[in-house]
Amino acid sequence: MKTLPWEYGVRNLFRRPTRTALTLVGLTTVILLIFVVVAFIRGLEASLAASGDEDVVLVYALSSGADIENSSIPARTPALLAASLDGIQRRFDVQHISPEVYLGTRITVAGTDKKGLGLVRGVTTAAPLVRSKMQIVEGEWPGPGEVLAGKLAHSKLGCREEALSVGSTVTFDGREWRISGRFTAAGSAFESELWCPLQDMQTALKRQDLSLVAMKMAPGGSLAEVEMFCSERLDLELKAVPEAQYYASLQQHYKPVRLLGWVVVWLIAGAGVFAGLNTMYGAVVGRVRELSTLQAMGFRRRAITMSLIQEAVLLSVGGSLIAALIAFLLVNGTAVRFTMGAFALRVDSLAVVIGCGTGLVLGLLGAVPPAMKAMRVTVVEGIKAV
Amino acid sequence: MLRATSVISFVALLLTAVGGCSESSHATSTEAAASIDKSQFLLVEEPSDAIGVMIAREDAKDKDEIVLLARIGGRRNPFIEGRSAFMVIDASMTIVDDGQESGKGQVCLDDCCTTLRKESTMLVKVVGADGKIVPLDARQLLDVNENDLVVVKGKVERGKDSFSVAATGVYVRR
Repeated sequence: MKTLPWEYGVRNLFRRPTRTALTLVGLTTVILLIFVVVAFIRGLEASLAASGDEDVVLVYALSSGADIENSSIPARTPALLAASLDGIQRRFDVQHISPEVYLGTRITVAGTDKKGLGLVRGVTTAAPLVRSKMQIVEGEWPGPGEVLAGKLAHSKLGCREEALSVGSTVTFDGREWRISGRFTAAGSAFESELWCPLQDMQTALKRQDLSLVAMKMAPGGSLAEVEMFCSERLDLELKAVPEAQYYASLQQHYKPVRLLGWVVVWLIAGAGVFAGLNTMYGAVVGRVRELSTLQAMGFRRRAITMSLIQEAVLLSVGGSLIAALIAFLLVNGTAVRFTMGAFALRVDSLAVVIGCGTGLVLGLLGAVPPAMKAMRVTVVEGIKAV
Repeated sequence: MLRATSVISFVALLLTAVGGCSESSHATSTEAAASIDKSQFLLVEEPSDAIGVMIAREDAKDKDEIVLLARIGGRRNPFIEGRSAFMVIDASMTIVDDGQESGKGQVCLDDCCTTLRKESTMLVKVVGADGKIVPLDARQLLDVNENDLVVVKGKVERGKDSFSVAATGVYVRR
């Protein structure tokens, strides 16, 4: 089969620069929208998946349901757990057991009037032993009256990142707290929190109880051991849940959002195919005479169809690349606030495959039907066409 | 032809290896289960003079030999994974579903029923001759499910704040 030269299709794109540019913008927008939605879903999934550690067991109030914020357990629980269980990770005579108070509260950032709903965790120096992904990237561990701000805490509070820089202050529960440092936690939900010394927080809140105890289990230790303790000590009203399971259950809560996200991806892709079809119909219909002339010159219908598909795919691949570039530069890493904290949009390999794959499919599907329609016209009618 | 044969052989080898791995892990747990004589824990005849959980909690002293009649339950998941231990609730009580108000003879899992829950539930640990908990899930060891009525024969373990029974035999009312 005698095919049309590659350059013919490329040159054709530049012969109608306005139409080409408009089609490219349309395709880029559609693909960029797909990138944004996929990045949202992937970011949410990654945040919840990264938050749960397989070796960590959370112990909190039996009556608090699935919500740690509502949990209240006796302050002596960590000591009792430490004394009763053998399976807790221990290094240099320090047990990896972290007593914590966790709550959502109104926080005022210095320099702004409005109060944002933020998440605060009262911790001891044992917290980083249990939450091993946590890493201080700026400043230092908080002393009395100080807090450590997570990388995405500003997004949760609805303020600028600079507002939570080291040395600035935030006010909550009637006290002013100085930011002593900033931390990351491998993209987990902890990054949207503020961490402060447990005792200071208990004093500020006028409470002596805890919300939870997080424990890192040693290789030989098991959840069953902790469950046995909780079942025997009914007076404490405790339950033990693996951290990974806790966050997996939260992921179930967000399942409808994720499903909706995928539906939106399909809808946008569908709309994109129709928009592409419309554009290509316009482009091909205006070229019936040219296409018939090519047939008269001896080029077969299949060869002409291939050339039309080549043009469309070139445009859609170009659109995909531009959209991917914009997504990487502007979308990737953008913080998004949600009920449980904040997470960063993630343009990962899956997002690239889905975004660029959709772009390619748009090019292929958008070109075939109009090309087939144009090829049905006889050569004589085509040459006479105005 | 030779190439196709090689590819097929490689895939077959891979599948055998994968299958072998999963079989071996499954075999380990099956072996553990098989090595335990389940019949020594399952009573053929129902012991007499059984008392309820509430009475046992009130009257029984540490190391007392008791016979307990109870229903498996009292928690969202009454079984301890991988151990022969489970929560029981007094046979006269039932747990109501989340969000439902509890009536007479019923207990919910919220704060309002804390005291009643504590009084009417307890832990049963099935122990071997060495006094250690049998390392096999109670559902496998005794073939029991949530809400089954069981008659437990064993020794009371009462601490300052804890109460449980180290069971040597269990009769399941079918």
